[in-house]
Amino acid sequence: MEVLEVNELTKIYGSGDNQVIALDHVSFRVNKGEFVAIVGASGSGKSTLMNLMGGIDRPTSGSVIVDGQRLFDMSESALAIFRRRNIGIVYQFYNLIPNLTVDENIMLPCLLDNRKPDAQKLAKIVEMTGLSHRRDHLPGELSGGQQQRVSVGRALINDPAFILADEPTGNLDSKAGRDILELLLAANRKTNQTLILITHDEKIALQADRILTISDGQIIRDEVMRV
Amino acid sequence: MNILCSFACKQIKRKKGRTAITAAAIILSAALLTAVVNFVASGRAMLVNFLGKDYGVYGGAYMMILLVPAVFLAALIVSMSVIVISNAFRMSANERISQFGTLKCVGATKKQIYQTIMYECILLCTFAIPLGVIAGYLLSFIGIGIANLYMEELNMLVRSMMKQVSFQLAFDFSPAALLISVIISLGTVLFAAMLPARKAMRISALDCLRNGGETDTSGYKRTKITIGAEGKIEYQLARKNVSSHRRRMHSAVTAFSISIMLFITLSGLQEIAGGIQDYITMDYGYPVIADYTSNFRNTINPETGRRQQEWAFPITAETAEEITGKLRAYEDTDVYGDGQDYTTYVAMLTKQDLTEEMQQALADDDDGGQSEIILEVERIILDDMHYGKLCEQAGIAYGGTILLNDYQFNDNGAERHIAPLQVTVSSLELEKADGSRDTVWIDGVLTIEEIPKQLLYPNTNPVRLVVPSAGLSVRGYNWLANPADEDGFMAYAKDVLESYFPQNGKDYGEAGYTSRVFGAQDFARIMNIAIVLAAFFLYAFVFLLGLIGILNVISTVSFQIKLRAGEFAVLQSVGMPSESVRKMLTMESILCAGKALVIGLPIGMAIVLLMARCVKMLFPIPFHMPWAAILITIGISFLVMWTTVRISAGALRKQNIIETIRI
Repeated sequence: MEVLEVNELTKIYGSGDNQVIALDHVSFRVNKGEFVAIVGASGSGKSTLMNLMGGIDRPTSGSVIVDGQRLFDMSESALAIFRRRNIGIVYQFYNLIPNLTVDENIMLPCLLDNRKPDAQKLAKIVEMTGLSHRRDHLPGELSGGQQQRVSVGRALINDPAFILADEPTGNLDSKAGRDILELLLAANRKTNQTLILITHDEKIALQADRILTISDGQIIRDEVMRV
Repeated sequence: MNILCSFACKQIKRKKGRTAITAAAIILSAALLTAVVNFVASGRAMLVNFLGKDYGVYGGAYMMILLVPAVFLAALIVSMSVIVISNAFRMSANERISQFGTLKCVGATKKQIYQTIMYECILLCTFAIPLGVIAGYLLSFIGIGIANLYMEELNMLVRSMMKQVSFQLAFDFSPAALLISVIISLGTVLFAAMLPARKAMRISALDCLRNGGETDTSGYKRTKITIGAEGKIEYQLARKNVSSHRRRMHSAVTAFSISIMLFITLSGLQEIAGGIQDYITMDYGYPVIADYTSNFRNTINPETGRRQQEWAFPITAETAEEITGKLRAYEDTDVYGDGQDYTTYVAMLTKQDLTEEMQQALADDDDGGQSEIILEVERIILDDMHYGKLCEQAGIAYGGTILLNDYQFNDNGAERHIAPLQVTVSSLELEKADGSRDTVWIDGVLTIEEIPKQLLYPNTNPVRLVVPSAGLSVRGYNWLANPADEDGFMAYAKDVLESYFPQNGKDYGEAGYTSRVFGAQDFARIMNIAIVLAAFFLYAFVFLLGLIGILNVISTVSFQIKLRAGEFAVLQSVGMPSESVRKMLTMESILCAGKALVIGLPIGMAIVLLMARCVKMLFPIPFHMPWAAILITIGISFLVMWTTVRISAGALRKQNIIETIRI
C-alpha cells in the first residue's frame, strides 16, 4: 500500500540567468512501512525534495500525494493541519521550542490541535526516547542527542503516514547518532512506521530497505536493498 | 491553558526587560489617552456648569473648542503608540521567527501564529491598560488640581471685567469616559500588535527557518568601504550598518523624530504666545480702566446697500463728561476720558490727498486702481479738559477738529505707523451709509510724535479725527484713571457706572450694554495664566509622549545590539578590538540620532514658522526661532541614543566570542 506518491516534481528557483533547477521531474512511490534513504551530494536537491514532501514548500510543477491526498491542492491552513496530523519531520538542528519542556515539545502537534494526547501513548514515546527522567526539562538543559530524541518523539506522536528525517545524525557525535538511528529503526520495525531519511552517510543509507540517489535535481538511482 | 497562550506567557516571562518596556509604553499610552478623554469629560462638565446644559447659543463652537484639541492630541498619542508598541511586538516576533518556522513545520496554521502574538498583546493589556487608566486618572487629578490653583485668580480677574463667573475644573469620573478610554487604549494596542502579527503569519516556514524571517533584502543599500579613505574603518562600518539596518531602526527614528518635532513646535508656540502677551500688554500710565460699550447690530442700508451699524444704547458726550467729573471727584484722581465712533463715516479721498506711504500701503491691499479712495473714519471725543489741552497742543482754538495723522497697521507681522494724509489737506468729505455727505474742516494736525500715548491704541481706522463732543453720541467710552487707592477707586467707579448703566443682575451684554472696571494689566495677567497653564499641560504631554519615544529607542537599540551579537563576535574574531566595536556602535548611535534630527528638526521648525506666519497676520509681534530649545533637543537626542548604545554594548563584554558565534 502506497503512503507517498511523488509525481514529476519540479522546483525552479529564480528566473532568467539566475534560474536554478533544484528538482527536475522527480517521481517515485513509497509503500507503507518502507525505510527509504535518499542520498546525494551537497546541493543535489535532497532538502528541497524533503521540504516538498513535507508540504513546507510548494513546487513549480508536479504533485505529492500522501495517503491519497494531493498536498498542493490544499489551502495553506488545510496543509498545515494535514501536516501536523499526518507527517512527522525530524531536522538536523532539532528545531525544538526552547521554552517548552520535553513533554510539551513531544505533544506539540497535538497541542496545536487543541487536544491532549493519550497519556499512555505519550509515556510510551518518552520511554522509547529514553527521556523518562527528563520529561520536565527544557531543550537548553539537554544534550544534542537528547534534543534530537525529543524531535523524533514529536514526529511520532500522531502516528504519521511517514517520518521525514533530514540528516538527523548530522549534528551529533557518533554514539548519539547511532542512538537516534536505532530509535528511528525501532519505530520503523516495531510499529511499521514509514521512514524517509535524507543522509549523505553511506553506512546509515545501507541500513535502509531502499536507496534513492539524487544528483543535480534528478533521481539517478533507485536501489532496493532488502524486500 | 491553550498552547498558544502558554507560548505568549513564556515569552513575556522570558523577556522581562522588553516586556517591562512594552508594558511601560502601553501604560503611558493608556494614561495619556485616559487623561485626554477625562480632560474632555471635565471640560464638558465645566461648560455645562458655566453655560447650561446645551452650552447656550454658541454650544457647537464651545464643543469644537473642547473636541478639536482633544482629537488632535488623541491622534498624536495613537500614532506614536502604534509606532512604538508595534515595534515592540515586531521585535518579539522577530526574536521567535525560527520558533514560528518550527511551529509551522509541525503544523501550526497562519492563524495560530497570528494568535500567538495577539495572546502576548492581550496578556500585557490585561494588567497594563488598567494600570494606564489609573495613571491617566491620577494625571487628570493632579492636572486639574494644578489648573484650579490658577483658576481662582483667573475667575477673580474675569469677574472684575465681565460677570460673576466661576470657572472650576472638577475631577469628573464618568463611566462613559472610562469605557471610551479603555476602548481607545485597547484598540490602539491591539491594532499595533496586529501589524507585526500579520507580517509574521505571512512568512513561509522555510524563510522562518532559513533567514530568520528576513525575506526581503532589496531595501539594503550597498555602500562600499573605501580602503585608505579619510574616515576610519569604525566610521565606515557604522555608516554601512546604519544604511543596511535602516528598516530595523525605522520605528525608533520615526518616534524620535516625532518627539523632536513636537518639542520644537511647542517651544515655538510658547515663543509666539509670549509675543502676543507682550503685544496686548499696553502701558498708558493708567492702572485702572473703566469702560462702557453699547451692543450693536450690523444692518444694510436699504437705499445705498451699504453696511451700517446700529447701536442699542449709545453714550452721549454729556453723560460721559458727567461720569468723568464724578470719577475725578474720588480723591482728585487723574482721569482721561475718550470715546470712539468707528463706523458712522467714511472719507471720500483722491490719491493726491494721501501720502506716498499710504498709497503704497493701499496698493499692497490691492485698492490702488480706484480713482476715488474711500477710507474709514474714526471720530474720537475726549473729556472736556483733555480736549482743551489737545487743542492747545495743536495750536487751534477750542472747538476745532484735529487730525491725528497716524495710521498703525500690521505690515507682515511688524507694527508700522505711517502718516496717511498729506499735511496740505484742509477739509474732508465724509459720507454716511445712507449716502449723505458732510464736509469737515481740519483745524490742526498732530503727527505720531505729537499724539498723546492714550490715543495710540491698536486697531485704529486710517482717518482719525478728534472732534468737539457737543451733541455727539458714541458706541463706547473709556475712562483711564490713575488713582492713589486703586481698590477703593475701582469699587467707587463700579458704583458710579452702575448708577448710570444698571446691570440689574443681568449677564455680560444682556442689558444691551456692558460697563466694566478693571486693572489695565488684567488682560495680560489672564493671558499669562492661560499661557502658563497651556505650557504646563502641553509640556507634560510632550514629555510623556517623548518618554514613549525614548522607551522605543532604548528597546529597539538594545534589541538590535543583542540581535547583532553574532556579527560583533565575528568582527572581534577577525581581529577588531572591542574598543573599536564600541566606537563603531557609538558612531551608529550618532548617525541614528542625526537622522532623527534631520527629519524632526526641519519639520518642527517649518511648523513653528508656519504658525508664526499665521499669527503675524493677526498680531504684529516679533518672532525668534526657539534656538535654545533646538540646542537642548539636539543635546538630549544624542545623549539618549549614545547612552542607550553604550549600556547595551556594555552587556556584550560578558559574552564569549566563540559561544556567540555558535549561537
